[in-house]
Amino acid sequence: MKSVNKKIVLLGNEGVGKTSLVKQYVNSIFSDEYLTTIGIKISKKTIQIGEVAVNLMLWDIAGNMMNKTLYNNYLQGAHGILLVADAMRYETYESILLEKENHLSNDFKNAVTCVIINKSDLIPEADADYLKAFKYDYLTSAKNGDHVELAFQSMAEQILETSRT
Amino acid sequence: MNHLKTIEDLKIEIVKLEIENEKLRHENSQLTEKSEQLKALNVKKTIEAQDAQLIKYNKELEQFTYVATHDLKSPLANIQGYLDLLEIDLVDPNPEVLDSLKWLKYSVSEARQVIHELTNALKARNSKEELLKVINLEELVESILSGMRSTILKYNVIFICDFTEINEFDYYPVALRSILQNIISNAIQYSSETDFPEVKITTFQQLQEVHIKVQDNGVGIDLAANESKVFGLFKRVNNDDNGSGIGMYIVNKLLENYGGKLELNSILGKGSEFTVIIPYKNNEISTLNTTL
Repeated sequence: MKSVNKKIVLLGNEGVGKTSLVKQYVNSIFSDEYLTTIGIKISKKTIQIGEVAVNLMLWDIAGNMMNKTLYNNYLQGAHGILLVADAMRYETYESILLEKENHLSNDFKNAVTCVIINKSDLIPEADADYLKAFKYDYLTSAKNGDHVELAFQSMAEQILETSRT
Repeated sequence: MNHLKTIEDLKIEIVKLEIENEKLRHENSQLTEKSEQLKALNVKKTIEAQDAQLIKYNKELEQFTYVATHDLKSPLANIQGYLDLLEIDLVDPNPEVLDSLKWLKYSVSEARQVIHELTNALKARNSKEELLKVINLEELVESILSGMRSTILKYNVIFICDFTEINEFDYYPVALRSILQNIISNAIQYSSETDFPEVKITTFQQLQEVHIKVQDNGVGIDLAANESKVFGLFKRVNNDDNGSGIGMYIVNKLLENYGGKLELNSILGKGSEFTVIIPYKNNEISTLNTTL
């Protein structure tokens, strides 16, 4: 069986839930206790796409690292970039849009990029228009697991598709 | 005739002398035996005296640890209580104050947890097996780094943690925490002197061993000149004024006591790589890797 390694980087401000998304996806766990990520944490999950075993290397990069000098070094070799924002903090959405437009679209244009709006469980049910201000690829909840698997799986499929073409 | 008599006399004399010689040999052997017994008795007495002294020291040390851990409990509980009150009393605090408060509370809670673990370790001191627990390295390192967060931020050290090869294994949590805390603290101290400090912590499994590697891009050590100093008590390398020279001594002693070893590679000006090698006791390989 063919096996490939693919690097996916998670970016976004502090507290948007990048680590929780990875933990939910890899270990199916969620903790309410919030600890800011220090530096970079690498996790791995192997999934099957068709005949290929895909080793997803998930690089969870601390929110405060986006303004560091060597930040670009850690994005090198990324096949996919997941930009994560907090549904309850619009400024985190603006921040990832800026990052995408000013930086990623130029320096990492070959990487598959997706926008995730996380913490969907906190969106008021009565407010139907709440999400109109956001343009996103996936609406997830690391807390209850909604669409988390779908987001990572779709990204992996897109990466494989891109590498074939 | 006289001549013959003399020969006979000599023969008798020889026999007498042989008998005498045999007696002396026997006495000598007895004396040697007694001397050996006396020596053994002296050694035994010395060992017994040293044993008694060691038992006394151990008891004193144990008592000190009990008193220290016990006496630290109440002030820490006090600090925690006041932090809770402060949190309630704060009116419209800015996010930075709230963040500092959160980390203060976290650090106090970690200190209380360490004391709790130390107390348990003391209670189970006669049975090392009781202290053997499944370690989740990601959680342990996260807790250690969180405890050092302000220093890490101050020196802008970037940590890269990759435990995808092996994350869970059996070992002694109190000992491993102290071992890694000392090595990581060293890595921060020496890499902080470079422009872009970076520390990588990785794991891998080799036969029946778990290797935990802590690699920094700091000032490095001239091993040829300093090898004897690296693990010595109160000895510091590179003539630096930082640190007490106790950390690496503790690491080595803990590994000697709990099973394991430490390997060091370093290039002056390039950085150091400390590898903690401990026996792999878990039957099932557990990693951060999940296969669907």
